[in-house]
Amino acid sequence: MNSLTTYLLIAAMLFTIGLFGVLRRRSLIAMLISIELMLNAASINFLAFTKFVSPDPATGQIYVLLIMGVAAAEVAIALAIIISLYRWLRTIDIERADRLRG
Amino acid sequence: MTPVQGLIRPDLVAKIGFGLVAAATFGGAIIAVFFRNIIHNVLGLALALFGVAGIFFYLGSPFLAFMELLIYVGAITITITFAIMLSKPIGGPLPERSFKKTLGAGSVCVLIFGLLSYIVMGTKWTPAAMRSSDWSVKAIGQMLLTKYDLVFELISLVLLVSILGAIVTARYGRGRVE
Amino acid sequence: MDLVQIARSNLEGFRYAGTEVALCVLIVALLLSGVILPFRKNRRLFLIISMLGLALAMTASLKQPGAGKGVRYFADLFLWDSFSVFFKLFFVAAAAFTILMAQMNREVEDYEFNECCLLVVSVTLGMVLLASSVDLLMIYLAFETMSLLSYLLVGIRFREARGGEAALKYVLYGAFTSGVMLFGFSLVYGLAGTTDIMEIGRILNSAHMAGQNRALFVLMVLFFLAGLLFKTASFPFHIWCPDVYEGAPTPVTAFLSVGPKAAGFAVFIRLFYTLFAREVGDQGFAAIEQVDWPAIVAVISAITMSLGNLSAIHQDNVKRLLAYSSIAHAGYLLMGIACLDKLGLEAVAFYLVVYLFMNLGAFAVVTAVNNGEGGEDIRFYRGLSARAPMACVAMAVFLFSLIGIPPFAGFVGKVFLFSAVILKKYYWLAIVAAINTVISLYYYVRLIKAMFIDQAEVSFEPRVSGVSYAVIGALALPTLVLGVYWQPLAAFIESIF
Repeated sequence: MNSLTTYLLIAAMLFTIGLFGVLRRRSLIAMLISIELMLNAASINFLAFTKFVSPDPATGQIYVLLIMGVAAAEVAIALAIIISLYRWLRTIDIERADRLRG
Repeated sequence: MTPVQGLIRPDLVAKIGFGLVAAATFGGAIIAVFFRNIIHNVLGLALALFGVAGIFFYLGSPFLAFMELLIYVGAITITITFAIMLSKPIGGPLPERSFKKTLGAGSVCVLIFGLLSYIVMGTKWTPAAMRSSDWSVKAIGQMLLTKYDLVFELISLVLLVSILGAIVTARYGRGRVE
Repeated sequence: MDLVQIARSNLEGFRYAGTEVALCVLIVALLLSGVILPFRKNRRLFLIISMLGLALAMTASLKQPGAGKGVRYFADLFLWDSFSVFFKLFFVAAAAFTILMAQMNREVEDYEFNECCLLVVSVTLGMVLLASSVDLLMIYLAFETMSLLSYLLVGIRFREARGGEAALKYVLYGAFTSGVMLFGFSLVYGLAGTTDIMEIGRILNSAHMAGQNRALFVLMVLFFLAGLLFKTASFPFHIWCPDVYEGAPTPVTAFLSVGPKAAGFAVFIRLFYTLFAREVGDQGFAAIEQVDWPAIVAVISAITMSLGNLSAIHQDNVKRLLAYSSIAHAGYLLMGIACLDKLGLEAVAFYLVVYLFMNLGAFAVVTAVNNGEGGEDIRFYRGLSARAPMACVAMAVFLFSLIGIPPFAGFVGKVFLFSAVILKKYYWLAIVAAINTVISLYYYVRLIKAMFIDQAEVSFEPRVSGVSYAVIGALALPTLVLGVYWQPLAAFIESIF
């Protein structure tokens, strides 16, 4: 019922909101959340193209599954690092985590 | 046909449902990015991911919709919540970036969104000549274990090593606990 | 394709996947030995296991494909051609030197040595898969394998907050840029409807794309560049580089500055020369009409090298200095990619090999000096030649080679790059690169002067072990030999493109 354009616009919007979050937020976890939104935008794109363009439905769906798996691993790693860094810095704020000169 | 059945038109229900799903996605995304309290952000992310799952459903892949709920809503947001609980007492919101920086980021994003929507509408996305219509889970399973079996194995290896590495990282972070 | 047929072709694929299989076996061996053996006492054993496994992987990748376009294997996800074989050898060698360097000092402690080896080998597996994959799905997964596990590699040293901060910056920038690149992948997928990059390249370069939206192509190129420039540590995604290089243990820094960077260049060449260019004639390529990406890459290259060299001037920390120098070298290498002909690609491949030896060598000396009471600040290097003459001479060789002074290997590499650029009539780029070489002279020579002429500031006794001398020697030898006898390597590289 919806056209390809509708889905692509939704994905573009979600991507842009995520991008804005990455550029604007200072809190590390909030940046991570914004990155998740961007990955989801890419997933919507993939599935929309699978539905309307691609010859084979399985490939696109597997791609989306893969993105989810990678995102899960990424979050696990980022959070492990955030937790252990927290023990050193006692705060999670990228601009206070600047003992290294940028 | 009862009068009530006549009132409920499937296409209208579908449209309203899609509207709700899209609203959940954007509403959640906006809460996730614009609100200051980190717990609200995570809840917003969960809402947005529910919306994305709905979009997957509308795109004809209930399997992926459920996977989205399981992996993203069920695992990733919960992990993030745990990280917040373990790493930061829920206190006041952090000060955000200066207004100037926000304005800069905002204009960059508006620009990119404009470009993206121009592209989305201006491009002719040509469907392939021969298109299979097999959206079953069976087809995905068969592909995963034949054509993409190496992908399947590699992602399991990546997950295994990342979990190991995450454990090691978090454990040594405590100092030398043996 | 018939499922049975795919399954059979997968089995046949193992004939070409020797390197991957050897690395997987090594990963399993490291995992098991790390569980079974008391991991604090068996540092040397883990080293031996890793070396044996990597030697196996090296032997497995020696088999050369003949002429022609190579063989697709594993259901067409991978391509076995000279290009991928070259990079497989390269990555396995980088991993072997890294693990040897980790043995050189105590920056990677006994209780994390097993995990360190495991992560290095897993990252290498990701890079090896990346070099041979020709499918967007597999490229994304291999790219993420490499990135995710290198984030952990940076964060493995958690006795200091520094390592954690560096790892965190790396994760956030990396996840962000790869997300942007993934969005680019999705657009390409939508335009072509397939994930096979050879097929996509054919479609994007075909005539009926001529009427397509130019903005789409521009955006696709930019989104692709985000992920690739991050991995190669080039402008504008180079900001993480000095922090991460300083914060990570020195062997890991050395690995990152060579392995993932070269992998970034490998996938850069694979993607851009397949998707956005087509072969024209015997030696050249032609970019797609919609976007002049070689010009973009040339400009980025000029900015990257200038930025790297200008920032390196004031660095007193040797690891940060080498980090900026590695940014500058990414700029030099991008020049070759902007050339858009086989000469440029050959120059890039040749320079990467030279860079492997000289850059790992410089980091090996830093690792050796970092041992005991030594440190990575330049004051530890003042007057060092009196106490560790051999190491200082080797360091001088590596630094002269990094500048590009004859008769060292770096000179030959630079000559290849410059001649490719000049033959392509990018005179302005050649001039910028020449000016940059002069600038780089200043800070490299400053370090050499500190070692040989300055008075010692800190009195510490450098403890350079036998292993260190062996590794440094093994890296210095090719740096010297390739400077005077480069023809065999050049001929080999000529055969891969």
